[in-house]
Amino acid sequence: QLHIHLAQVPLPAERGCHRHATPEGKGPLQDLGENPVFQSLVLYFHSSSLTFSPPPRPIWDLSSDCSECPLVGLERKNILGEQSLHLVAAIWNGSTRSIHGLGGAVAPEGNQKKKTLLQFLAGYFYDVEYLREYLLQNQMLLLHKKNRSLAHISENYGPYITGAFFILHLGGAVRFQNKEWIRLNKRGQFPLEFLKFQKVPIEAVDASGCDINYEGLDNLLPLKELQSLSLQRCPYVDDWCLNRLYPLANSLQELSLAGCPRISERGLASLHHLQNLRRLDISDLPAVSNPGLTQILVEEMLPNCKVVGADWAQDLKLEPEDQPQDRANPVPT
Amino acid sequence: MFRRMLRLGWGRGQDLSVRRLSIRKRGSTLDWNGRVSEFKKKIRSILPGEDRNPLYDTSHLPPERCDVVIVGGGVLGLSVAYWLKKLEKRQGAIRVLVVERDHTYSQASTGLSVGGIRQQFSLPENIQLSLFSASFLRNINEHLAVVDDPPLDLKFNPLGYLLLASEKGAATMENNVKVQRQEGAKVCLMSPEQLRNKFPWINTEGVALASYGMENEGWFDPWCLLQGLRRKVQSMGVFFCQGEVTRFISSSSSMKNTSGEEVNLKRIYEVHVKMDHSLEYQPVECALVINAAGAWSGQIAELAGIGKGPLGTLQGTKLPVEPRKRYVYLWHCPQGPGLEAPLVSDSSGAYFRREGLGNNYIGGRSPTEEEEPDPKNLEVDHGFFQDKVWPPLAQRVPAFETLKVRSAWAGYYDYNTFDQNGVVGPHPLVMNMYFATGFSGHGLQQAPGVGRAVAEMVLEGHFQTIDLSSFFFSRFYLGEKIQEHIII
Ligand SMILES: Cc1cc2nc3c(=O)[nH]c(=O)nc-3n(C[C@H](O)[C@H](O)[C@H](O)COP(=O)(O)OP(=O)(O)OC[C@H]3O[C@@H](n4cnc5c(N)ncnc54)[C@H](O)[C@@H]3O)c2cc1C
Repeated sequence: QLHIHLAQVPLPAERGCHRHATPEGKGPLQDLGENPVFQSLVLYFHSSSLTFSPPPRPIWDLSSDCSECPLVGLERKNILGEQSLHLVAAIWNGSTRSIHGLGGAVAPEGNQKKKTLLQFLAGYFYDVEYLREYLLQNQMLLLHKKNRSLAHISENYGPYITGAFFILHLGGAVRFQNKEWIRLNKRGQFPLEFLKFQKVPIEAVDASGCDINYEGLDNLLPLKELQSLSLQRCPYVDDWCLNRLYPLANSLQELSLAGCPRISERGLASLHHLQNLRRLDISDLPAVSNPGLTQILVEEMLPNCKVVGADWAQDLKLEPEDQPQDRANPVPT
Repeated sequence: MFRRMLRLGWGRGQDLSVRRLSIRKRGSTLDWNGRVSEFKKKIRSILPGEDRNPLYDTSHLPPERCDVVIVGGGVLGLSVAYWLKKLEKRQGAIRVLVVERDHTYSQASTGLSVGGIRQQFSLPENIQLSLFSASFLRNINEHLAVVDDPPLDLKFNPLGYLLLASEKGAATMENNVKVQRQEGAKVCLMSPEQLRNKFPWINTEGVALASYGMENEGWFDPWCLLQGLRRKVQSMGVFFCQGEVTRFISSSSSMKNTSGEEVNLKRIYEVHVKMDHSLEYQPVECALVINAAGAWSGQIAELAGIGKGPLGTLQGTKLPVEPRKRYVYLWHCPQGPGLEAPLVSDSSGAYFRREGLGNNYIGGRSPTEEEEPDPKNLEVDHGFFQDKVWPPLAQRVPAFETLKVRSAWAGYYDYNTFDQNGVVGPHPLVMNMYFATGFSGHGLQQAPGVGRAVAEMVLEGHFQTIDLSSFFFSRFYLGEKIQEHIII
């Protein structure tokens, strides 16, 4: 009888009990193994994610897309020797970029069914799993922080300066009416000249490759004179974002969404609000299931707009998987 | 036996090797056999010389003791489970069991629904719930992220709802939109003229006013939400069990209220779960029961003795939720509305939306009380489309005069006959039964918010995020209707 009782608990109980067994008041990291490599590895992650501040990175430098990852620091520290270093770097790419789809695109590393160290460990230790969850949450938090609403700036400086500040901060560029493009200078400093343009409307925004998301759009939507918006290769721009562009309908004439990994035909359908659009770039959207048909339907929906879309040949390709998938990686401009 | 050894090992901190090598298990019970052998191998490697196998397959049985038993593993039940685990004070503090009798969800409303989300309601509570859900769904991959599982693809179509009102309904519509805007929903009103310009395929004859949702409205894949929640709660340590709740064992104590009337307070302390395809049942001791059985939640309430008493008393007040059959038809129409088509709900009650890119549409209509079909089975009445759905749709969208019905299905609304609104919170007499049901055709979209509200009620004793106290059960006894006017 007793026998049955003990065995009766179904699968997830294993988890539940393990958690019960964790002594109260102790973090999950405290019942770690004694393996020194493992311990230092985990402790390193833990400390680095607790005080999570991205290493100083020149914002314009889009090529080093991994520099925000705390593990790059690990590489520099070289505490684990060549081999494990390699493993760890691969994990980071695998887990954050493809497994959780944070970067949106399916990274090639993720496709190979290679188990990385952290994944492997997570299979045995809940602590590692917690840790990875924790790292992931931290990353999302950072994204939200980057995209928070800048209402306090808007109060003092008006919408144009706010929009410009926001975009420059993310690493994009803006153009005020009849002025030159403004972006951060080579040392990552703000060109202060733009503070003079408080009354000058912004007419073009280039946010290519920026980490802008749904919340961040709050800072762009008050730009009522915006004529051209480029969101090329933005990893976090999704269908929900497109649904939000309608307040710009009166002015917006050019929109580029090329290479956004999360945009599908469902979001494109909601662009019908933008009836003044003259040019729309929807090439290279990996999440659109039927690029050719979608383009025709979008053209029907926006009769006055020139839709730059997928290559016709793309549909005819034999192996669509062969298309480069890692669109989230911004190409250095 | 083995488990006890593990416990001892943990408790005294002796057997560190066992402790570190706790094995992670998750996922369906389908490949149980494979996993058992794997597990056995691991046990053998940990405990050399151990040749007994202390485990055999009892995975189908629920645990004997749980803090919370959730009846119904549809989207509402899972959402409650998710928020209970999410809001618990300490990890693993409460043990939650979800009892679902059909893991294929063949009859559950969740999978058979149309997947719409809208803020166009008349009640502020519903609007707030819907806004909460929209933000939940927008960030679904943050809320429901599971390490090493692929991200969810919600397939959200952000195309809005377009409600049409005749002259009679125009004033009400205007009032509703005012409330919706106050609550923060982005809804705009359109004249027939504007409507013609925006959607030339609509015949505006008989339309006096239209309201159109600009943001956070549209439709999504209900399966994705259901499976995402399942996956997540499983990873959070919620127990699942395939079985049917057949009986509640409760203790009762009778008390006198201030006016001297006798009331019978009840407390459920055991839930009987009958296993699938067998006579075996397992009693589960529990502290709380959550009734999230969708269209069948009326029956579950009856099992707990709710409504069994003299008429007109609180004891005799039934949970007025019953299954109502609703048909959904899928048709093809080559000249139909294009990519921009929202979910259109005509003043007649008929609705349709686009489905995919191939000029396919799905739609239906709620029957009147007299036309209400027999909810015994889920057979589809094709005559209903010919007589009741098609004519108003073809009048509204002339292109639909030529269409071809491709398929159809039926599902059950968890229909609240009293006021078509949800029931949330504890029962006043059966003190540890909580409801999350009765949303009459918008339960799917409200699920994230309702789950949170119920979890707050359980854990904190009051609502924190959204005040749903107008959805309490007591309104049925007091006769206070809180009517939701916009039921599609
Ligand atoms: C045709 C149709 C269209 C709809 N369209 C929409 C829409 O556009 N938007 C929207 O928001 N909502 C819509 N709905 C409503 C929505 O589907 C429901 O409100 C929602 O799914 C209810 O969720 P639930 O979890 O309560 O119910 P269900 O998904 O039905 O889950 C209840 C579960 O409880 C189980 N159960 C019942 N009794 C027992 C028992 N004794 N023991 C164990 N398990 C039991 C059942 O097997 C079932 O799986 C629609 C419904 C229908 C039928």
